[in-house]
This record gives sequence, C-alpha cells and structure tokens, in this order.
Amino acid sequence: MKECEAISIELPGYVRGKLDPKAVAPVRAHLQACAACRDELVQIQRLDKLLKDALPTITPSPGFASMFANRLAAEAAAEEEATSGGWAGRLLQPWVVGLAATAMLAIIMLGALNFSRRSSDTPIPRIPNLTGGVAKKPVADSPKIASNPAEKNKLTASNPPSDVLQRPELFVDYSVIRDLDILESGNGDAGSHAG
Amino acid sequence: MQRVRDGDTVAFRELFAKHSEAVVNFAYRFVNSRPRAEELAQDAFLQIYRARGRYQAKARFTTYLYRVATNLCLNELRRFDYQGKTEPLEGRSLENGEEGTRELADTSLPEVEELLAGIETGARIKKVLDKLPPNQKSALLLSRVEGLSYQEVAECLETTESAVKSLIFRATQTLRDQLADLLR
Repeated sequence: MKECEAISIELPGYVRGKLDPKAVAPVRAHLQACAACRDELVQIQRLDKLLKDALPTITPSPGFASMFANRLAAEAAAEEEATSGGWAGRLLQPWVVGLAATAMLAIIMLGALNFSRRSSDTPIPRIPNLTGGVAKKPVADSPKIASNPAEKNKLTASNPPSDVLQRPELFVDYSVIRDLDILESGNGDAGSHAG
Repeated sequence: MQRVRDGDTVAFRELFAKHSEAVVNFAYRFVNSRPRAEELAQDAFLQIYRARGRYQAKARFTTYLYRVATNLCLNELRRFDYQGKTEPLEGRSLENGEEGTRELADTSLPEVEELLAGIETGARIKKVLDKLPPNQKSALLLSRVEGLSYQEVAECLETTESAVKSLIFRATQTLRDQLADLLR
C-alpha cells in the first residue's frame, strides 16, 4: 500500500511523459502488478483529456495586437527619452551641472570677499555702556531721565534728546533705556516705579 | 530573444504574435475576464521587453514567459477575488434600457446538444479549478494545459521539482473527486 502511495504521486507525470527516465521503470513495473493503480492511471488520463478539451479557450479581441503595438511604441519612446534625456536631460548634462556649480561658487566667493573689504573700511560703531548708566549718570547738558511717568513718556525714540542727534552712537531707542532704568531701580513693575 | 536583447523590436513583435494567444488563455483561466486577461498578457510581454537587457538564455523563452505571466496572475489573484466571477465568452449582455432580441439555440440538433454539453462541462471544470489553491492551479495548468515539464514548472513557480509533483498530485486528487462522474 505504501508503494501505491509513492507511485500515485508519480502517475500524473507518467501520463504525460514528464518523469525522469530513471523514475519511469519502477512506475511501469508497479502498474503491471497493481490493478488499483492502473485504474487511477486511466482516471488521470481521462482527466487530462478533459482539461485539454473542455477548458474554454478564447481568441484575443481584434484590437489586442494593435493595442499592444501602441503600448510597445510608447515604451520604446519613453526608453529613448530616458536614454537621450529629453530637454531636461540635455540641460542636466554633467558638464553643464559642473559649470553651473563652479560659477555659483565663484559668485559666492566674490561676494564674501567684497563684503569683508567693505566691513574693514567702516568703523565699528561703539555701543554705549548702558550699565555704566547712560540714564543714571547723565552728561551735564544731556536731559535728565524723568522720574515721573508723564515726563518719561515725552522722551521717546521719536523724540530723542538733542545731544543724541549730534552723537549717532547714542542713537538708541529711548524706550529701551527707560525700561533698563526701571529694571536697575530694582522694581520690575511700573506702578511702584512711578511712586 | 537574443535579437530582442540587441534592440530588434520586430523580433519582439514576432514573439508576441507567436505566444500572446496562449498567454491570454493562460491568464483568462485565472481572472475569468477577457479584457483583464488581455491586459495581463500585454503586461507580461512589456515586462519582458523592459528586462530584455538582463535576459539570459538559461531556459526556454516560453518558460521565462510563463514565469512572468504566472507571477502577474498570482499577484492579480492576491489583489482581487476572481472566484466564481465569469463573463460570457461570446456576445455581450444588453445595457440598461437597450432593446434587443435573443434567439434561443435550437437544441434539437445532436451537434448543438453536444456543443452545449461541452460548454457546460468546461464551465464546471473551470469552477473546480478556480477553487484550487493558486499554486496548485498554476502548477496543474502549466503542466497539463501548457505542457511544461516539471522542471520548467518549478522554475516558473520558483520552487523544487518535488514540490511541483506534490502540488500537481494534490490538484489531480481534488479534480478527480469533484469530477468523478465525468471520469467514468
């Protein structure tokens, strides 16, 4: 019985002559001795015939070949476009890319050189020492920073004291100085400062 | 295929003309739809055309072609469920609102009876085949219908010859059980 199992797996191949020549001889020998396997062989032969004859076959539709020809032509054109590169490809030739990169680098370097020259010619403006007390230690002719809020409001960035106009390095936003003044007095809130 | 690899599109059209109908039929047995089967067959040939530069003449061209076609069909089956979906082979159904008459076939003639019986048998076999696991079905069709050797089927399914034997054996058993009355 075990032999039948081993042979039956070979039978579909035997029917269509798909077995190795070495495997054929034992199958043939078994079939001569086993009636059950011979029956199975006949059934497989019939099934084979059924599959070949009764399975529906179709003929491709009339436009099938021309549709494929179109797809193939499109594919070939796309391939050619990819290999020749098209307008984008022609524009992005390696030598063009290299040239563009070199030009870009040169422009950047020239710009940087020009900038460094200009900045060495211009004197660096001195920033007034705010903590030294622009507000606390006023110069003799510079206006006093008003301690009451009403006066403070008059001294704004749009209305700076006259000496500030003559000394551009002091041209700073007065509202910032006022705020610093408030901070330095130790009272963060405006209400206590006003008093 | 060597000529195709060298860029000969005429040779490729010749290959298409020679094998496309068989591939359409092979795909049709998976998807049960003529337009989809035609698309799949075209896809298989286009894939081969795209990969022509990498083609190595290790196996017969048909084995290579069926390998590509089988992969496409199995992928298609994974994506959609085609079981039990069939469409009429000839003619088309009437659209909504379209008027028409349909003549009934005269079944009194013996040839027509035979023909109808044949169609019925074919539809039944197809139904049983559709219920097989995709790998068993592929192996059986490639071997029994397309005539590929076990080794070629193994190449198509990317498996071993003994696995193919086993797949075909199991598929044959199922068909024998389901179609026992037709085999007597």
